[in-house]
Order: sequence, then structure tokens, then C-alpha cells
Amino acid sequence: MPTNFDVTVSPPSKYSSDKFSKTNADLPLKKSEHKVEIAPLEIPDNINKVRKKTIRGVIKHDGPSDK
Amino acid sequence: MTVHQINNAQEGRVRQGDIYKNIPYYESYKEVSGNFELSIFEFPYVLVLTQDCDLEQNKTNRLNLNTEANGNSILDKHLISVIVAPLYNSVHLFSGEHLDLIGIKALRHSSDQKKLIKSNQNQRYHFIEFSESLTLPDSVIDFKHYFSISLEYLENNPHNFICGVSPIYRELISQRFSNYLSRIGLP
Repeated sequence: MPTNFDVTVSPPSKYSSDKFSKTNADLPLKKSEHKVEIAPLEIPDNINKVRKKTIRGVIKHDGPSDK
Repeated sequence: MTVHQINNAQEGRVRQGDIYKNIPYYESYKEVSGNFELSIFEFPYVLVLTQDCDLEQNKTNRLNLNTEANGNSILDKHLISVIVAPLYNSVHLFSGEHLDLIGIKALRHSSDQKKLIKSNQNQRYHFIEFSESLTLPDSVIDFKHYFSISLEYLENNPHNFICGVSPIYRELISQRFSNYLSRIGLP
């Protein structure tokens, strides 16, 4: 894939496409293959966080009844 | 930041500066129509803040029971519970997400605030960096979240022991805790 282009750029105040001259403009465009590596998302490590749990049950009295 | 020296061996009793994992805090208990509901917070790590001499005297007292003439045992040094404070993963605490699993959103700390905490200049927190031999991440003790746990629970669950912070370092932590607890909040 070509990497060097001769490009003439007009001053910032006069942007217009006709001011650009590309000496190698006839070269066919090629699709380039880019390998994009995305950094893994920072997933919080939930292992070391405070947790809450609720235990429910039926009360059973082992001792003698009050009645 | 200062790497805190640790002991990996449990030395026969609970000590000041010991770190335990998976410690429950019983938030509430309700009885309704013959049913009960027990709500528990489980803290991944806590550090024991109780004075080591109190823990030692408690153990010694139980081993060498003094008995009165009437046969009653004297347990003058008996401890009911020990004070602990939670250790939070510093990354979680700095992002304010360390309590999100129990529905509490905390403050997200700025980089300036992080620097103060890491250099132990914020009196509410104590930053601990462990040596590489331990798998614990950099952690922050939040003195505001102290609670107590029965000594019996710690003694009955020795497998929850992780390590003990060495003398001097542990005293520094307890001193900073007592300073925080005794601070005077001016209006």
C-alpha cells in the first residue's frame, strides 16, 4: 500500500479541493486490512466486594412450651 | 506508600493486626409469625484492631483459670468480641463501587484524593500495600466501617485466617484508628 503522497495543501483559510494535487492519484485504492485490538473492558472484580445474604426459616422451640 | 510486613503463620490465638476473610456482620434479625429473617453482610477481608494485650490476657485467663473458694471461675479478662475494620480493594474503593453489591454507591475519589489516601494523609482511611508473596491486592481500611465480631467466631474458623500484619505496622493502624474515632467534629 502506498504510503507517500505528494500533497499540496493550501493555507487554512482557503480550503478547497482544487488546491490539492496528487501525483500518484491514479493508483487504485486497496482495502487495507487493519487489525484492531480493543482493550478488554475493565470489569470490576466482584469477588472481593461486600455481599449481602438473607436467611429465612421457621422458628422451632426446643424447650418446653410455656403453656 | 509503605509495604506492610506480614506474618503468614497463625500463632495460637487471635492477634491484633490479623486479617481474616469472609467475615459476617449480622445486620438485622426479625421474627414474624413464627418465621425468622436474618440479614448478613459478608466482608471479604477484615483486620483485627483490638489491643493485642487484651487478646493475650483473654487467652491466658482462660487457660489458667483462677477459682474462688466457692468454686466459681474468675474470668476478669474475658473478651466478648473484637473490633475489626473492613479492608476494601483499593481499586473498588477509589471508584466508589466497593459497596455496590449491597446497594450503596460511594464517592468516586479524584486523583488528588487518591494521593492523600495512598500516603495515609486522610485520617479516615489506611492504605496497605502488601508484599508480593501475598495475593491480596492493595487495600484500604475504612475506619468509619468498623464493627465487632465475636471472638468465638474467629477462633472457630481458623481457615479464614489470611495473615497477620507485623508489630509496629499493626500498632500504627490501631493508633490511626483510635485517633480517627476520638476526633472532634467541629460544627
